[in-house]
Order: sequence, then C-alpha cells, then structure tokens
Amino acid sequence: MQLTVLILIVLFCAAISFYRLLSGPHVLDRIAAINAIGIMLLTVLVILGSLYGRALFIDVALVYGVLLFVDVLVMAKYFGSPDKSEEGNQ
Amino acid sequence: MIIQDILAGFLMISGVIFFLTTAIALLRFPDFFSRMHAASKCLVGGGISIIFGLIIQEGISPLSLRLLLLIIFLLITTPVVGHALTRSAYQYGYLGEMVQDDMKDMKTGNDSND
Repeated sequence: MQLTVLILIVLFCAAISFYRLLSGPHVLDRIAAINAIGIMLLTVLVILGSLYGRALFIDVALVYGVLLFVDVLVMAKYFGSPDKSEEGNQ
Repeated sequence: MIIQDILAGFLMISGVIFFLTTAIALLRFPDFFSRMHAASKCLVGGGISIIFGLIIQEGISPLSLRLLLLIIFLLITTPVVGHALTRSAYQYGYLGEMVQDDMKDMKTGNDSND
C-alpha cells in the first residue's frame, strides 16, 4: 500500500518536471529535464520490482540507467559546441 | 521488525522529499545554473534514499545485491552528467545573469579533452 503511494508521488514529480521539458527556453534545459524524468522513472521501475518481487525489473532498470547516461552525455557534448548547436536551438 | 520498518519508511519519505525538491526547482528557478545546482544533487539524494530504504526493507537477498549495484552506478554517473551539462552550457554561452565570472580569461572555445 505505501509503495503504491510512493510510486504515485514520484510520478507526480515526473509530471511537474515535464513542464520544463515542454517549455524550456534552451535545449540544455530540456536535456536536464529529460535526465530528471529518466532517473525518476528508473526509481519507479525499482519500486515496482521490489513490490512484485521480480528481479528482472531491476536488471531492466540497470540497462535503462546505462542508456540514459550515455544518451545525456552524448547530447550534452553535441549541443555544447557553439558551431553545431544552432539547429537544435529554437 | 519494527525498527527496520521505521528506518525504511523514513528513508523513503526523505527520498520523496528530495524528488519533490528537484521538481519544484526545475519548475521555479530562473536560471540554468541554479536549476542544475538543485537538480543534480537532489536527484542523487532522492534515488539513493529510496533504493537504500528498499534494501533495508528487503534484507539480504540477490535482489538487494542488484539494488546496491544500482546505488553505486547512480553515485558515479549523475555528477558526471551534471558536470557535462553545465560545462556545455558555459561553452555555448547560455549564462543568464552572472555576478562574477571566474573562467573569463581561460580558453573556452575549444572542444578538446582536458
């Protein structure tokens, strides 16, 4: 019961962070919001794995964390250089 | 045990408070650097608190070993992501209103590994 309430509150936090993803003034704001939402959903996966007692969900959360890390790092490296990031900025 | 439940509940509630701090900081702060300042540290604190509370609730099992691996992974990767985002914001020139700029006379335009 309390784990279900925990999942709902973490999903509410992810929904608040989704506003910054929609209306960020720069592309780096959107990348920071994607990072925050990804870690919150990773935590939701971990709580679901502990709620149902399945270890497969935590393996999925580990692979998701690795993919999120590489993804955000490559996007920050690409949009950080000043000559390439003109098409990503609006 | 009652002490185990109390400790696990305290850690999970503190993790949820960290996540709420992250969400409100991303919503309300006016600057990119202050947003990243709140977001990166509170993400590490919230994730680690919730996963450590689950470990205490679970006891010693193969599932809690994987949760410990996930804690070590979060401790390594999230500060790296925050540093990379803030560094690329400085290199791009998305600064906002800065009071003092200590890195002004360094070379910032190159993209080499240092």
